[in-house]
Amino acid sequence: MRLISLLAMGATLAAGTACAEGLSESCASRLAGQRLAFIVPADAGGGYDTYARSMVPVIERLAGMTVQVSNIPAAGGSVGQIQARNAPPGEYTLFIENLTQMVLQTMDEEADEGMVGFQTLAIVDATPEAWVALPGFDVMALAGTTIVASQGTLDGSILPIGVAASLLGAEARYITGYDGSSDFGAAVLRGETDMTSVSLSSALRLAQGGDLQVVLLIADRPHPLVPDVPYLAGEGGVVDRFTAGQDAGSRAAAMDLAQSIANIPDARGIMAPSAMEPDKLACLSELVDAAVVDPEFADLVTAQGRTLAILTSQDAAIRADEIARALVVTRPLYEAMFEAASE
Amino acid sequence: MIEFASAFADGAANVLTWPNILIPVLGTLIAMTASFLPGIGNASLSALLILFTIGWSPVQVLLLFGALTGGATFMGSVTAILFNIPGNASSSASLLDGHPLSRLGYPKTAIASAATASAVGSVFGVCVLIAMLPIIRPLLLEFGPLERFLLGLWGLSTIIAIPNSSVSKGLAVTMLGLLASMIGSDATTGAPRWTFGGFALYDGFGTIALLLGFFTLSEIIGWRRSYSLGHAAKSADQGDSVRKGVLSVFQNFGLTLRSSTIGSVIGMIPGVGGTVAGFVAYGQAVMTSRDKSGFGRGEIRGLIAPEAAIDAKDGGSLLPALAFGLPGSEAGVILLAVFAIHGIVPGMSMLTVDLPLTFTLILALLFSNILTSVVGVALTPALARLTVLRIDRVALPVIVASLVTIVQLHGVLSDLYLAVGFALFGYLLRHFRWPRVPFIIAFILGEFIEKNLELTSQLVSVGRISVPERPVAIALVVLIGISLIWMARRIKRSGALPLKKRGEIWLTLSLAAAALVLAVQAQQGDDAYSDLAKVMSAATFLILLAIAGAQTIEMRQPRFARIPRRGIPRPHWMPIGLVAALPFAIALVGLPLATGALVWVWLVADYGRGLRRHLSLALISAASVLATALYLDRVANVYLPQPILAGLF
Repeated sequence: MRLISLLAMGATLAAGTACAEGLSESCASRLAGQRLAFIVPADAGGGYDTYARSMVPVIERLAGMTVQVSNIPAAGGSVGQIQARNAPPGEYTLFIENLTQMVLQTMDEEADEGMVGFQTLAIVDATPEAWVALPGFDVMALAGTTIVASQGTLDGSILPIGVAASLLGAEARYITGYDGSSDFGAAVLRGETDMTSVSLSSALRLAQGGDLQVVLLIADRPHPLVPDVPYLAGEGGVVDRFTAGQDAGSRAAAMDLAQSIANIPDARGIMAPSAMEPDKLACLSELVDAAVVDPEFADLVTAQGRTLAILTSQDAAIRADEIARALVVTRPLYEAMFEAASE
Repeated sequence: MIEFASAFADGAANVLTWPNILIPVLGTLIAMTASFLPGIGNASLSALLILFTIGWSPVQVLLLFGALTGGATFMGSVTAILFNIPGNASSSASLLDGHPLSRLGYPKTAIASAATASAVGSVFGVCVLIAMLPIIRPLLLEFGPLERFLLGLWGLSTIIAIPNSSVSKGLAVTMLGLLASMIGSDATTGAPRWTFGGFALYDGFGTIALLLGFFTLSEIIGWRRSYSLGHAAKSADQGDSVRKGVLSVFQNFGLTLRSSTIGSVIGMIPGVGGTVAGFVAYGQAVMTSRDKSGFGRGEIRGLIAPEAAIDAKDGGSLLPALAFGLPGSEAGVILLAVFAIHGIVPGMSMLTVDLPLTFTLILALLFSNILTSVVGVALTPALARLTVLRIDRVALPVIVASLVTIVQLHGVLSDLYLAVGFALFGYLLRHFRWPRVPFIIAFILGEFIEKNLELTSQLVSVGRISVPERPVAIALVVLIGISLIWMARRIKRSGALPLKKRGEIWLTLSLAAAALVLAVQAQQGDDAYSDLAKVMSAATFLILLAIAGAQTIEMRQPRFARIPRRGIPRPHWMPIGLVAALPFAIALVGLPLATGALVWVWLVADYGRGLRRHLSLALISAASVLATALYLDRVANVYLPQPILAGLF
């Protein structure tokens, strides 16, 4: 019995080492046959779950690990975040979450949350926000109007809707309490609201039936998936065109603000608890670097209608810093507009 | 019309030809099995199968996912009927009368009735779906927040006067249910409300955790007196048969069709779901029945109505996904992911050029629903035998399965603590004969009503809703009016509020104190406490205070002296103590060991005489520790925090 166990273990290790494409020899042998907990702070079947589950076969093939995905959606994902942060240092643990939201949480000095206790290993998607409306909605003709937007809560609406609308000379009113991007879109369809803003992935889903259209990207360049959709910031963007006749100072301020908003995408980051044993964390980082650029991962994600914008560990950390800087720049305006909208 | 018929024929051929037919058969059986196991929801199962089916053709995938949607619903009701454990949230309403019917000795009748009602409901739902395909798009746009709010209000208006209770107690528990639904976060701002500074309550009370505590665990506490230990539960008498169950649906065919209509309509509204459908159908079954005395005690009409509604809902819930790409339920979300993978575009094309694919999905769902019911009826005699097992042999596995299910749902122990709290609350309501059903219906409908009321109010403030232009809203207002007139007549006939048992005043005062704490916090709180939350909490306190006042006056009446002095029955103390101690034991040693300790104490209390007996009981307890640990670790993939003792060493 003991011999059989030893043979089985040996076979697993050998298979793991043989399959370890893109992994150093030491990490390949260290990871083979180990267990990895992948914590998803959201329900099974949603966007975050899709990215996590699409990585499972790739990780298992590359490292010979056994991956278990745990969906812990409680308290808007906070419970999953806490469990991942406090995972035992000797265990392999991965966590996927909205990096932008986590950076924002970290900026709240009172909170021991957000990026505290995590190391970013990769970004799998950094989709810009996109406005969705009925056909005929013209973002260049909004000056002097009030647009009504359907959203879940106010805090996610201010930057991509309120600030963007103000840059185009419009005022935004928010109807909050709708349940997820589908419900936001349904409200637009029923004529209750004029538009909504969701991540580009969700916007493409809403628009695939043809009743709704993606009308604006909160980005500084066209996106390859929707090359004809106008974008907010940068040269040739709608703010650039809208402010063409204005004085240089106010035009530059508007362009800077638009650029800051465009620098805050919905970034989905893969993280590991910083308290993990250093050699284990290093190998896990190596593994995630290899997994996210693996063609099988790309095929699985795109086949499920999700977008990809891969950044491996070093670039992901730089991107997280950029997001943090943009959030600092926009924070005073965000707080002022939030207070006004709350009243 | 010819194109429609031709698309239907193509869809039918896709489902019924060999070897395609194997896919819906397998899908149905997988979904049935998964729904019967604790904690494996249909959403998790479907999410797992998405990756598995990436290389399949669109037709094959639609056959599988149509079958998965249909197969899960009925088997969730079987566990509700037999063990008081709803296999999925939408089966919750079925346990209100399904389980009492089973405990009365009619498990075959109950399962066969549920299977037949499911089959009729699903056929009806699919017929409605097919009939409405050409006109569905404008119809779906009629259901906005105003209509959803009125729909919830209609469901609520039928429940306060549910029989077997005084109307005042019915009103009080309804208010408590609404208040419980408000705990968590504000429906529109997301700001935390009544969370007492922790994360555990941020999402509010989990429905399944609450139901398992409120009905299942509290029921088991009562079992030790209602059914003597060591003996079989009441065995099926001669009146229990599959035939009787099947016939009961046709004897109540009007009710079945009404409930199916409710299920179909509610299914079409994105984001409403089967749970609401089941409870609204249950409420109208109570309202439209001449004899209401049996509801909550094993009335078969209280089982037929939700069963027909939740299966009819499946057909309706596909409509928004097909017509607009908007999911009507969790299953709809996964279906849209499947559509995206296989290049199927929802919207007009699904109702025109891709109509054969639409029919493939619809007919796979229908096939699966019917197959589930047929298999269900065929298995009825075998399933019914589970209820004649000795009660102590059923109780422990039910407790362990409930604990695992509760923890697996969101991967958090706090759900388990909530379930324990609601087990004790449910037990006390039952012991003092307060109605439990209005609480649960109000809890289910509360968040739905509040959220849509808030949305409606915001839309009115920006001038985006004009009531006279909303015919569906007007129809719902008429229905609510009829319900209120009915309720007023019943209140007139209802008596006062007799004290059922001594000690009841303490329950009333405790509930009033809890409502007072919430009311004070709401009055002192920030924007998270809407006007509705403030009014609801204050009104609940005042109603409970009024009941306590009336009970105090009654205690001074001479007849009060004749009420027997009966406290908590002695046989109940042990399970109450065990359930109450569970949270501490789990925090201390972890769920598997705490489960083992519970099993050991329970068994020793009943059988613990002699060394050999003790050893065998210890072995059984160790086996339960191992089974729980393995299930949590290998099947449920639950990642639980380290117990306190493990941290110390």
